[in-house]
Amino acid sequence: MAFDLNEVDAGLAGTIFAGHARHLASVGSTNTLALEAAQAGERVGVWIADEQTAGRGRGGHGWHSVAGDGLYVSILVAPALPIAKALWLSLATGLAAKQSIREVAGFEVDIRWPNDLLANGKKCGGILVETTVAPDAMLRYAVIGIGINLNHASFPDEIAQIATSLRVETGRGVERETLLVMLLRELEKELNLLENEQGYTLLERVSQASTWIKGKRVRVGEEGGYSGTTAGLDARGFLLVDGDDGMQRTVLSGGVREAR
Amino acid sequence: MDGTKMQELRELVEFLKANEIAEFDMEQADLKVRIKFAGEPAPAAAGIDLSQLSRLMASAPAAAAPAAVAAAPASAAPAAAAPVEEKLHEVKSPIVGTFYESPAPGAPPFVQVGDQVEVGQVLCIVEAMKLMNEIESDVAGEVVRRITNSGQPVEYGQPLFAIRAR
Repeated sequence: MAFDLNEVDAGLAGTIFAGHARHLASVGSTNTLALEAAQAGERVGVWIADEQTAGRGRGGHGWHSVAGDGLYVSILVAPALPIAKALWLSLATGLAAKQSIREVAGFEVDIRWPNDLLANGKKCGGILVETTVAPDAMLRYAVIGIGINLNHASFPDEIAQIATSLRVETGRGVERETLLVMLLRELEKELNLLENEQGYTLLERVSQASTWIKGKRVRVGEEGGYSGTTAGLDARGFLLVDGDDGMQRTVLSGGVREAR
Repeated sequence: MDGTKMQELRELVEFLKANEIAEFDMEQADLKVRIKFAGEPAPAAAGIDLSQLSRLMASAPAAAAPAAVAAAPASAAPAAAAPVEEKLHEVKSPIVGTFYESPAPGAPPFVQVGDQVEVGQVLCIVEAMKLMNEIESDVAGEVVRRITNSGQPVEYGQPLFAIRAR
């Protein structure tokens, strides 16, 4: 279905994103567009694509993208945050995505630390944040790339065991415009909390929203690879894992998988 | 420098190469060793056998003791050792994370040793929590050293590059 930018514009009235959404039929990567705009001095923007031909994930992982089936969006923001706290954009975006999917599709996705979106154990969404900091260690800007599988009826055999869509899991499709508006509204709320809230509750809320934070058997790719049981988040938001060798380690980057 | 000592140095160099360590400094009472590998180290191996390194380190002073009588330390120092400590600007990591020299695996590095960089030019990425943070140079000058290898964890405040400001 053709993307209705007017509907999105109307839905974003009163938010920092109002009037800043742009739609493209096909693009290499929406994150690249957003980064180029940021380098040219823009500080807020939303780029939505029907299809990404070179979608980026961590470590160069490509993202399976079919025209119109998924929500592929990059969001440029510039909250006033020191870099240590700007890391939490990763976690806050995962929460915003989960909340928006709950409200629009009535479905609870799980969050695999730091921010993969899982539906019944399979990945239905991914988030990648790209930032630049100024020399005073304050965030200059952040580009938040989000891909969510909405309306795919099925997946190619080679990824069907690990990937899914909301339609496959719930039996119902999700309108991209509705989810995008809800996602941006939830994200704005999270950004406000991140900048302003005293006694910030993000880590607590992430711990409650995700089954992966505590007591989950996992395999971690870092440090040569090891297995263990997740043991909560540290004060900076990094995942702690009690290794099977009795040593507790801190996961820095992600790449956590369920141990079978 | 006697034969045993040279053999030990060779072993040390092999060890450092095998573990893809870009730079190594060791200073003892009568001996100073600085080893820096030119060129592009491959992504680092998963882990380093520290016990092996400490074995090499431990054997060095014993062998060095007799050598100290015979050879002047200065002449024993390899050519690679910098005779004068130059004051270089260090670009440090603002966060804990994983160091990446290039924007994507297989892509050319942002900068290489010997490159001239400008203020604000991207030197590398430090990633944490799936947030890719570009680190910019805060001085203009020549990249003299890259202090860590791509894929390696870095600590808050850890130097990443040494730059000779101009």
